[in-house]
Amino acid sequence: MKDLKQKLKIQSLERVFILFLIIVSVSSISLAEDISFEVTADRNKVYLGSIVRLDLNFYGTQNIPPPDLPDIEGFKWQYLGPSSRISIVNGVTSTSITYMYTLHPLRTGIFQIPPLVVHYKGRTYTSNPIQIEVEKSQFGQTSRSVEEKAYDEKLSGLEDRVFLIMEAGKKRAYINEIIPVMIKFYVRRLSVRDIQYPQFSHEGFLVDKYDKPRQYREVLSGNLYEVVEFTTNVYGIRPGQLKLGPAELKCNLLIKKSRRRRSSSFDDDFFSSDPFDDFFEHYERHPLNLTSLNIPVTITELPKEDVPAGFKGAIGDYRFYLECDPKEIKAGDPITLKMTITGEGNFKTVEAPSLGLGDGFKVYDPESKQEANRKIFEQVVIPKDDKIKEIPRIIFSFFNTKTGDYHTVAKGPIPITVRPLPKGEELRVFEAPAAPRGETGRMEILGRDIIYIKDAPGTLRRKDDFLYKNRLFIVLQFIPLLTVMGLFLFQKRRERLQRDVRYARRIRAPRKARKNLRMAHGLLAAGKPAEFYNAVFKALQEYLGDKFHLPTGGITSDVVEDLSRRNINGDILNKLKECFADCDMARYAPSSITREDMDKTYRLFGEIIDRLERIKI
Amino acid sequence: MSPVRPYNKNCARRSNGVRFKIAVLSLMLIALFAEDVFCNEESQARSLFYQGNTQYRKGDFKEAVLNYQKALDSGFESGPLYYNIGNAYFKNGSLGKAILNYLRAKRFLPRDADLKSNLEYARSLIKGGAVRPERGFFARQFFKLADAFSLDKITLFTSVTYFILSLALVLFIFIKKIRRILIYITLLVSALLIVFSSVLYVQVSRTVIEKKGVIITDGTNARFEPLDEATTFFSLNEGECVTLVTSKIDWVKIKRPDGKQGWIQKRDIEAL
Repeated sequence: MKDLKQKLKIQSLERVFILFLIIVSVSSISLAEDISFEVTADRNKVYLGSIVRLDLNFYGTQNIPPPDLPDIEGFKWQYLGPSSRISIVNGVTSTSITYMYTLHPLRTGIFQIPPLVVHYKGRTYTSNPIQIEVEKSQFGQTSRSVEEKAYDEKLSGLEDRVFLIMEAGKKRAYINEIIPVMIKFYVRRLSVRDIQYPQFSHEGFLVDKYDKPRQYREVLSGNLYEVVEFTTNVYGIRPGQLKLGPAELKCNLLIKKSRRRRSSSFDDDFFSSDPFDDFFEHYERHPLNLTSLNIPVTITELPKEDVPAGFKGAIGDYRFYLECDPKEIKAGDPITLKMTITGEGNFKTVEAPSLGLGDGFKVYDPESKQEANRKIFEQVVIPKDDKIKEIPRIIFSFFNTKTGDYHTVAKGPIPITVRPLPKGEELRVFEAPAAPRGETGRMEILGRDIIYIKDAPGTLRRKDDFLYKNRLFIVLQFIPLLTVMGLFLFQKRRERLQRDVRYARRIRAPRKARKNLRMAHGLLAAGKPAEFYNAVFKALQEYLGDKFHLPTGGITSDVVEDLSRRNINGDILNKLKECFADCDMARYAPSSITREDMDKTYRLFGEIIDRLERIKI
Repeated sequence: MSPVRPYNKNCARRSNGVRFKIAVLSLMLIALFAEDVFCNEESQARSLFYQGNTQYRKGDFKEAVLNYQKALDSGFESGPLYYNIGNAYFKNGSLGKAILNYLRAKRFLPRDADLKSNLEYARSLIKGGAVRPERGFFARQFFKLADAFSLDKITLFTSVTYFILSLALVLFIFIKKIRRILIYITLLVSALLIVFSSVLYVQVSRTVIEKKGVIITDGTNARFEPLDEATTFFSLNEGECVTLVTSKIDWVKIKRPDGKQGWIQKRDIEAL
């Protein structure tokens, strides 16, 4: 009967499972079949410079990822974004997702957008092909002319809202003198994007790189303008009346699309009120070229009179400092001369001051370091003998553009102490050209390139096959943790067993009882009633003594009274009483004991231990 | 009526034994076969590596790159392989891809002097110089240490330190006599474990959480929005290393070491 019930249960479960499978498969098929794919373009005729919107519509799903369009001949595409719809009509829900792209025509002609193939969940969906005709803009008489007109109209009143101003810091300058140039782009209440760095004609000038453009607001003729300021420096390289500029700047102006255009006959786009339409279709970018006025600048040559002997072309207002380190050396050791030139001017014209050190020194090429408003030259010189007592005077000359005359600054002489070489040691400086690499004072220019390829591939291993991802390795990491935890708990228990006698006895009680139970069973099987009851009695004594921490020897049936005060179930106590009574009976009237009595006592004993073990004390 | 076949326990046991043997044998065969397939694929990758080297020696760097790339596509990687790809790209004039592959090689050869030299040289050629993150003294030392180990090495070191710490704890529990010494040992090993696991965390997060990428197109514009028309925020030079923040179809949001973020086209960057 039971088997039959179980069988029926299994069969019904199988049916439910099969039904479930059928439902799942049918629903998945129906879901899969419900998906359809369609491609639409907002127009089939387009002019160069305009855009076409291409919509990839998937009906019946919203989970399909956006497909990557292939290269479409004659167009450049760009992904705009998704738009999903859910509609419930008469309780029937339909979902769809549209991925929108813009197509920018690259040349004229008739182009076909081939059927697009999308793979999703193992199924392939193919769209319909679309033909688009691209024409030159001048043929689009109606729409383009309207559009251009509107654009021209819009641009015509913009001169005071977007313009470019170029300013030069000086109108007269000497050759190589720094002329700061500032190009300011002003814009008021217009959206401008893609502002490029301005270009300007600069014949007869050298131009530095632009600094980081600055952006701020400025009030001009009572109007607040957003200003982008580009600054750079130029240097005149030939004398004469020269012109800087005009500067030209390219940017894109965002112009709101004319409403007329949307309703024109060519643009049959009745878009829904999709927010993307508003965002992408209502503004158009129009390239804007802004031009500034040019600036006449007069470049004059430096005066040819009173040119100092050490003048190397430095132009500006400078100060010159000289340091020498170390000042105490032995012959052949290098001294570093640090020549610092600070101030304002064209540092490109500043060269290392010439040293008139004479034959007593070996002189190397200076190393220069350019910092903001400072140029440092470090020159290594080596005194050849101990007769040299000083670094002679060093002269730096420059042309001061502010005062219009030449200046010369002299530093030194700096006294130095050159010790003679110890006996037996040769002067290394004379050997310098042939000295091995790394010799003091040796300035060697090393070539630089990459180091050659490796000959062997080393240990090749599977990509991403890292040790920390290895499952066996991860599992192994748990072993020490579990071992430490296990051993810790084991040690804690062992210590408690040694310390707490009551706990130790209670823990040992069931184990000992089970052992005694086995022994009693042996005696029962051997048919030794006296020994059996003796063993059961002793086992009960031991068990109760250990369990309740009582002296074992004194435990008799009286213990039941004691245990009744410890909230132990009355049924167990009765059974305990019965077991003790059986033992007493067997001891005093052994002849009346039958095998059944022994079996009963044995079961009783087992049951008492079992039930007492379940009680929490 | 067909005679009832008595149930033979021995027979059943024997058939079970045979099944077990067959299972073990087939497993061994599968293992051998898999090993064989692995060896074959590996030797193919090796041969492609050597072919790449031959092309490199001839000066045909494009062909060398193709062969090295094929070796990679077969599913294998190694430090010298990435190093050589880096060299071939460098000679080909692709600075960004060269730096990218040197950085990949660095994961396997963290202390290789040749690699260090080539990477430094390639970085020195980045227009405008590479922007490096500003770090304090301790952070610099820590990252120096983190860069000195490969990911597998640091994983192994961390694991070994952890095992030693566990052993010390076990001894601490059971042997009371040497507890004083064990306290010092445990503290020392714990400190080591903290350092190693922090390094491990940094290295794993570099490969999993904070993915890096290298700019492979010169003058890449990072824009405010993932759109072609969006305003340019800053420009990136070929070879600059950036952090990948998130991606959207053809665009990736990146973070420069100085913290500036912008969107660039996916084709302009390659992930490490």
